[in-house]
Formats: sequence, C-alpha cells, structure tokens
Amino acid sequence: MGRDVVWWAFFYLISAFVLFNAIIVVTSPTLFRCLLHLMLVFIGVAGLFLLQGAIFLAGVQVLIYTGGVTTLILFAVMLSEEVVGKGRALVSRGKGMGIVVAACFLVLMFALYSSCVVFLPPTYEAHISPVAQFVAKAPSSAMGNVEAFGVALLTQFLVPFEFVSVLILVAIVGAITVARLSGSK
Amino acid sequence: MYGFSLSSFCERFLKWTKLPTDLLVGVIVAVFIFFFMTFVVLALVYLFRKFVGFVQVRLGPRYVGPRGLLQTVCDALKLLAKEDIMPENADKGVFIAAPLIVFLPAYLVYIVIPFGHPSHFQPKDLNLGILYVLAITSITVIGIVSAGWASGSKWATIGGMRSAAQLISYEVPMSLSVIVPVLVSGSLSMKEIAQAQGDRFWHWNFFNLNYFGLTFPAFIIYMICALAETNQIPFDLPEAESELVAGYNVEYSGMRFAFFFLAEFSNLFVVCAIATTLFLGGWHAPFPFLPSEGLWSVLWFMLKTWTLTFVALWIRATYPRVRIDQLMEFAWKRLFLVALIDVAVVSLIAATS
Amino acid sequence: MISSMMHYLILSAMLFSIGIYGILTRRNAIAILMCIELMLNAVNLNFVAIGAHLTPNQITGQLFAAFVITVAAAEACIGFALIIAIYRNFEKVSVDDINIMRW
Repeated sequence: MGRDVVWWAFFYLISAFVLFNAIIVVTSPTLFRCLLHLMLVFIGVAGLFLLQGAIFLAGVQVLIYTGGVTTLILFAVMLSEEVVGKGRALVSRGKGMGIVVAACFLVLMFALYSSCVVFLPPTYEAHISPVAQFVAKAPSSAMGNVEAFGVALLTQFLVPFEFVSVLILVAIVGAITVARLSGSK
Repeated sequence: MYGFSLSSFCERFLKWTKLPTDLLVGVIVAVFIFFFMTFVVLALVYLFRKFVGFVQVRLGPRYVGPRGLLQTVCDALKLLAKEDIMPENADKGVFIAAPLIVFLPAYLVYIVIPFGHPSHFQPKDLNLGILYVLAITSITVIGIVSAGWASGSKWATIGGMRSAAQLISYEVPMSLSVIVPVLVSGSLSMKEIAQAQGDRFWHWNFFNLNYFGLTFPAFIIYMICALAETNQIPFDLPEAESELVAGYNVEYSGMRFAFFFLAEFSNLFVVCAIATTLFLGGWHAPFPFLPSEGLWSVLWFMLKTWTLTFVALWIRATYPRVRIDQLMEFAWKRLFLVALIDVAVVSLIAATS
Repeated sequence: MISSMMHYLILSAMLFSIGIYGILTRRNAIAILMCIELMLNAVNLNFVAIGAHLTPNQITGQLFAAFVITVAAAEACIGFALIIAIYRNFEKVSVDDINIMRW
C-alpha cells in the first residue's frame, strides 16, 4: 500500500514516542512515573491503531487501557505503598542477562521476518462455502468500522464473544473474592 | 451564510498561500476551540456567581466592569500573577503534568460536539463520537489522582483517591445510560444521534413516545452521573473546602490551579452539551414549523445547553453534599441497576419494532 | 523498501523485547504486570498490522486485538487483586522476598 509522507512522519513520531516511553517504563525507579509513562504508551499505541485504519479499536484501546487498566494499576500502586511518599525504589537485578535475552528475542524475530513465508488464510468464496455469509467482513463505504465489528461479533465470532463475557464475570468475582478483607462476609 | 465555514475559509486561504492544508486547518480549529472554551468558562463563572448570589438573596459581583461582567477576567489575571509554589515533598514531574492531564480531556471533547446543523458547526464528526467522549473523559481520573498523589500531602492524596473512586463508580451507569440513545438511533456518531431525534420534542430521547417514554430514566441517570463526573455539588466531596481542605488541588496555586478551575467549568458545559445532543435533540427546534437550519440550529443548541447548565448551577446552589459511602452505594446499588434495566427494556423495544 | 506492515512488525518486536527486559529485570510485582501489559500491546499491534495487510477484506485482525484487550484487562484485574492480597499478608511486593514456598 502506498503511504504518503505525512503518514510516515506520524508513524515514526508515534513509534519513537511509544518506544521512548516503554524504555522509561522498564527502567524508572519510581513506580508512579512508570505508571504514567505506561499510560502514554497506551495512547501512543492507540495512535498507531488509528494510522492503520482501526478506528474503533483505537477508541476501545483508550477507553479500556488508559481509562480502565491504568486506573486499576493506580489503585494497586496506592494500596500497596505508603500513603505519602514517592514509591519504593525498585532495584533492578540482572540487567545484563535481561539485555541479552531481549536482544536474542529481537534477533530471532528479525531472522523470522526476513525469511518468512506468508500463509494466507483461506478465502470463503460465496459460491463454494456455505459459511461465507457468516465470515467477518471488512469495513467499506456501506458498512463502517463499528458496524463491521458488530456484525463480526454476532456472526463469525459469536462463541468467543460469549466465552469472553463469562471470562469477565469470572474475573470480577475472582478479583473481589481475592482482594476482600478477611473476616467480612 | 451556509456556504461559509471556518474550515472552508481556512482551506481557501491556505491554498492561496500554498501551505499544507490539512494540518494547518486542524491547528486553526484547535486554537479557535481554545478561545471558545475560555469564553464559555468566563461566561459560566460569571453566571454562576451572579445566580448563586441571587439564590442566596445577595448580589453577586458588582464593581468590576459594568454589572461585574469583567470579574472573571480579573480573577484569571489574579491567578496568573500569583506565586508558583511547589511543595517540598512533591514529585516534580507529576506535579507539573497533572493539571495538563486534567485539562486535555476537557479541551479535546469539543471536537465532536455538534453545535449546529450544517456539518461545519461540528469540528469533526467521528464515526465513534460517543465512544471517543467516554474514552477521553476517563483520562481525567488519572489526572486527578496524580494531582493528589504528587502533592505530597495526606489531605491531597486521600482527596484524590476518593475522587477516583467516585469518578470510576459513576462512569459505569453513565456508560450504560449513554447506550440508550445509541440503541435508539443505531449509531455511535453524535451527528447521527442528534439527527435521528427529529424536529418534534416528543420524539427526543429524553421522553421518546416511540419507546413509550422509557428512555426517561436514561436521561435522569445521565444527568446525575454527569454531575458526579464533573465533581459538582451534590457530589463535590473531593474538592469540598470544609471536608478535606479542598482535596486534590489544595497544594496548587496560580496558573496550575487556573488549569483545574478551567477544566472543571469547561467540563460542566461539555457534559451539558453532550446531554443536549444525546437526549434533547441537539440542534433541532421543538416543533417542526420552527426553523432549525444554519444559525437557528446553533441558537437552539445553545438554548438547551445553557438551560441544562442553569439547572446544574441551581442544584449546586441548593443541595447539601453527599457522603462518600452514600455516594458509592447510590452509584453501585441504585443507579447501576436502574440503568441496566433501562438498557434491557429499550433494547427489547428497539429489537421488536 | 520495507512495506509498512514490516515496519509495524519490527516495532512490535522491539516493544515486545522491551517488555521481556522489563519482566526479567524488575523486582516489584506491580512493575512486572505493567511490563506484561506492554507485551500485550505489542501483540495487538501485530494483529492489527497483519490483519490490515494480509486479509484486507476481513476485519478479523482488529477483532482479535479487541479480544486480546478484553482478556488482558481481565487478567490485569485478577493479577492486581492477587498483589493486593499478597501485600496485605506479607507487607511487601518485591518478588525476591515472597519465597516462603522455597526450602
């Protein structure tokens, strides 16, 4: 796909922003700064989603990650530190080994990408397969991004959708049970 | 009048000067929104002080400018001229960043509000308008808690945590009550939701006769949650002067406090504007024979929004404060239940008709 | 000229490796969970980029990323609840010191 200069400018800007904030997340000694830069990583990733045309996903990313997960981590940070203070210093250990493992992973991924053979998923032709009408369609001018999500969630991905709702229920009940003060009912 | 808009004027001007149009149009619209927001806050603070004075049987500001109209401008100048104090225990970076994190959502939401009918009155109509609004307003929580945490004082931290608990508790019934207009109009886009409500006030979402008036609880729940989300009385425990020595912004002074103040009043206006779009028919006139195109649509929109703001200020002048446990119980046990039942009933009616 | 999909894949590999470095180095359990969220974001970038380029007539890539976001939120929820419970019992969240199951 051809992309113009503005697209590439935004892409390099946002990816530099994301990587910079990610490095601060993994190296900052103060837990609270770590959290705020993680929030910036989430916003940067939402920007990258926008650049690929995943508009609804960018909205969901901001809503759930920066709005929900960040607040969750915030409460966890506050409930496990002293009330007034800058957060416990996090002394890192084994930095060298960490860099080696991360670099090995990166080299492995580059080797994989440079030699990858692409297996495309099967296309469901309407005259061959009876499931073609239930396959998730792409957003078009007739059906926007949000509608495509809705249609896909209720046709091709109905079972994962129901499973995920049960999973969320289990997570809520489990979190309340685990974090409850003992002695109360 | 219909062919003119700020964006098209900018585009023609920029084509004439051969600069890149898309980015610069965005910049000009952003600056315009900033000035509009400042003007709205100025008007709102003045209205607030005069009206609260009237309710309390006294006159509000009188001396600065004719009838006290310049009072807010002088207050802003006073705040700008104050000394910038930073507490010793404060986490400097977060202390400086927190007002920004609170201010940005209040500023960014103006992009999707449809102020009038021909679409150049709405800076940008996003496909996921209301989802964008919900996402952006959930960032305010982090700013408020960061402000409380970074101040380095116990009062501020506890105020910040209470505020976070209140905000996230009231986000849930608000999201549920927002689903009701989305169900009724079938789209997340603010323009579509306002458009689908039509010219007749008995089809507006606050009491929709097509749905036998069952969308009314959603409107009430949205207004209550909107007051809670913007830290207005009766939900202003986090910033009450008599409860927690002004809560999360106690250590802020001068320009930083001005950011919080600006964000709070701007939030009030924005939340009433969104309620107008979702529930009161946006820019439409109440009856079909009244005009609702062009500048008339802006007039109707502003009329409805300022009426809702006026009601919010009225509540602010009248009601006492709610306690933190009463607040949480109200959100989770009452509002959440009513909102859930309302969504279920409205989706049932929407699916069978 | 590397295509824009490869740019996304390389970016997500770098983000993922930064997350790996964080998990291996950090001593605070909350910080480890934050680095896990970094890795999950990298995975989402992969899904969206590959979905947009290799299956342009299906929305499956973005949809799967939405599922990953949901499951990550649920997992973060339980993870942090566990950390709060551990903090209540041990008064510390450093993973080096929570070792009563070792001999």
